[in-house]
Amino acid sequence: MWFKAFHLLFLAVLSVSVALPSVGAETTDAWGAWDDSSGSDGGWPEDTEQTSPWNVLVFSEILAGGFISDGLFKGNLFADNAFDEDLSAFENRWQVKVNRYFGTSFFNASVELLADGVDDDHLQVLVRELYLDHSLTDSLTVRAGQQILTWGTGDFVFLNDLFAKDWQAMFSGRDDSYLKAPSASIKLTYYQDMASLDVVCTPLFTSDNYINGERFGYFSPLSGEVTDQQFTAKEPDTQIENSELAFRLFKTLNGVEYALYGYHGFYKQPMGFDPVAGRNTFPRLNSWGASVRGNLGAGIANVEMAYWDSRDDTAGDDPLTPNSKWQTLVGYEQELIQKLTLGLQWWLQITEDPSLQKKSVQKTDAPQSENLSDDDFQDKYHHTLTARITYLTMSDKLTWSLFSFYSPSSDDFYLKPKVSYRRDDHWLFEVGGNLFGGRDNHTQWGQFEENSNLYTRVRYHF
Amino acid sequence: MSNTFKNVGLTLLMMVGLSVFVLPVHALPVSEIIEKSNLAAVYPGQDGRAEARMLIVDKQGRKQFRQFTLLRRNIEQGGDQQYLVVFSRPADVNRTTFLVEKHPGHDDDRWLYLPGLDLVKRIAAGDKRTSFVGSDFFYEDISGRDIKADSFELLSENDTHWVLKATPRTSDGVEFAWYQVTINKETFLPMIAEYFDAHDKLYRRMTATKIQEYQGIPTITEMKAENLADGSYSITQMRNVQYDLGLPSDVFTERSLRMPPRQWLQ
Repeated sequence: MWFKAFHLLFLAVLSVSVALPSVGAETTDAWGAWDDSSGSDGGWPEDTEQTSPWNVLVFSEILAGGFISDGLFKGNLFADNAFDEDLSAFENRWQVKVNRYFGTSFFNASVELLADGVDDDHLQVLVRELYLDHSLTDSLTVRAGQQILTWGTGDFVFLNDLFAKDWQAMFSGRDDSYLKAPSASIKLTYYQDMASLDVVCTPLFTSDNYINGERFGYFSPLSGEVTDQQFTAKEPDTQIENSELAFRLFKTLNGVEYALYGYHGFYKQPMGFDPVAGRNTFPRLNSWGASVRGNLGAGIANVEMAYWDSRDDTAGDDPLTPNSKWQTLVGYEQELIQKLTLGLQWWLQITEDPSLQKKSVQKTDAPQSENLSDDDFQDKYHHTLTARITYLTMSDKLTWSLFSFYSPSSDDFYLKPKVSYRRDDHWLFEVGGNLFGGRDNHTQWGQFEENSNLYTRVRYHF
Repeated sequence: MSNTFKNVGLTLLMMVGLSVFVLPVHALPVSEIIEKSNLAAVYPGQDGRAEARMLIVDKQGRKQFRQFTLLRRNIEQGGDQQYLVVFSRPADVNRTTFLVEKHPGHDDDRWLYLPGLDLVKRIAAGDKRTSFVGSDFFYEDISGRDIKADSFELLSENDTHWVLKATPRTSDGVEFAWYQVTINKETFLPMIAEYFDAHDKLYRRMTATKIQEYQGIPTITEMKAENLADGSYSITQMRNVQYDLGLPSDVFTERSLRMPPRQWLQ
């Protein structure tokens, strides 16, 4: 407990000591020049003028969080969880972002230095972005290099977006943008009046940063319990036929956005298991889908569908590989009263032939097969509801938000409350939580109950 | 930041024309004034481009700052318009981009691009009389109120200005009881708008503090929005304004959200 108290105290002192000089600095900011500006196009403060073609942006951030799974119910707010861990996050991140134009080509790089007290690597250099945008012709552009990629209409729910995610970042309270992990990809876009086409090739398979026991525990079907035993899944071999290929055909007509999607690659999380190697694997996956999004009433409505074609188990009888499934997402977002926005989503996953998996297990002489219940297999229909509530106060400086996942099918949830205070153009303070729970310890969110945590985050933009 | 800044999109998009005070049509002389004022403030040229910056001063005197470039294209004079806004400052919104298809009479289509997530976000049509990024500008101040939302009368005039009084036809979603607007007779630009509550107390003022000519078109290059109740205010300035660039319509598409069109922004 003393150790945790020390961390919190340390953070508080650090935040205040860093904040102090800026309070003084504010009185000498460049904005005094506002009232002096006169004449045509003259008199703008120097710091708004682009004096160099290089744009340099730097921030530093401290994130600290502690597990509460035990403590929440036993009176101590912060307490070791079942894995005897106390810190869910303790890190200092420095990001330097530089970009500039070369003619009409755009170069962008974001490099980070991360001192991470929780990760096995305590000091990491991360290349978040390193890409070049270039127009090959009037209607054909390319973005090549390390980049963040996103498409689709879901909010924290991804049907057709099979680009890399970072679930560890999501669970530990990093900024929402870190939910998307970068990949080294080539993205070609062909713009046409009829419809435009994105083609993204990721030569080296880039998996999600999945929950692997390093920072957060998970349910292990092998042991039948929640564990923090670390594992590293077996990645597909590095060969050209294992590259990922994704496309999107998209068109906006009268304010309504239509898109078709395709993906050829692998599950982004280690959903398969190789019993010979004894390791988790990334089974082959093809995906097809479509989405529509537009204004409806006073809000925005979206519908998205996808068919995940599990290529390593087309028959659907391999219990070690997920079966193919249909997915549907219906969403609606509206500002209910001034500054209060509610977004709702219903996400349905229909797994093909879950009974075949069960049968095939029961046919084998696997030692545990007779103990398996229906709960150990995927539901045919799995429903998930999400709600996002956002409330802006104090002239939009203080944001209250709650994102919640709840599945009536498995009776489990993930709540993500947070309060962010954007003090000014430099300082951001945030406190929040990642709260998991459920009836069973093997369901999507229920397995993470021990990972429930509270965190605080302070960022300074230079 | 995304929640905060999506409201910038709702708002700043309309600023190329600086359509601070859009007035509906009533009696004939008034209707002509309003129509011309609307065109002068919101629809100058076939299209336009401006560099803009905004200072936001809260009631404690603390300052925030935004810097962005705007592109606007008229589809029809007095009718539909397209807007693209590309932010450069502050650092946390660098290359955040907004796209709006404005449809007077019904809901606009709005998109926000968040570069950190590579996410094109659709923005719901929200309350239009709400501040954005803590500034004292309202979305509706800038994008224009529904042309049929208020009834107008001529309060007074002198050699240089008309003063009109506007009363909302319905109080739904409106915090003022009435407002009055002063319009310059030569340029038809709205110079001052003052908002009164149900007790006829003045609580809010918008002022065009600087007018400059670009390509012979009088343009509001500085305006101020004041919250007289708490003393907070915001100032927007424009520079390097250009009209009739020949902006093609495909500048106002998802392509520009993800990759801002350098050739038109410079």
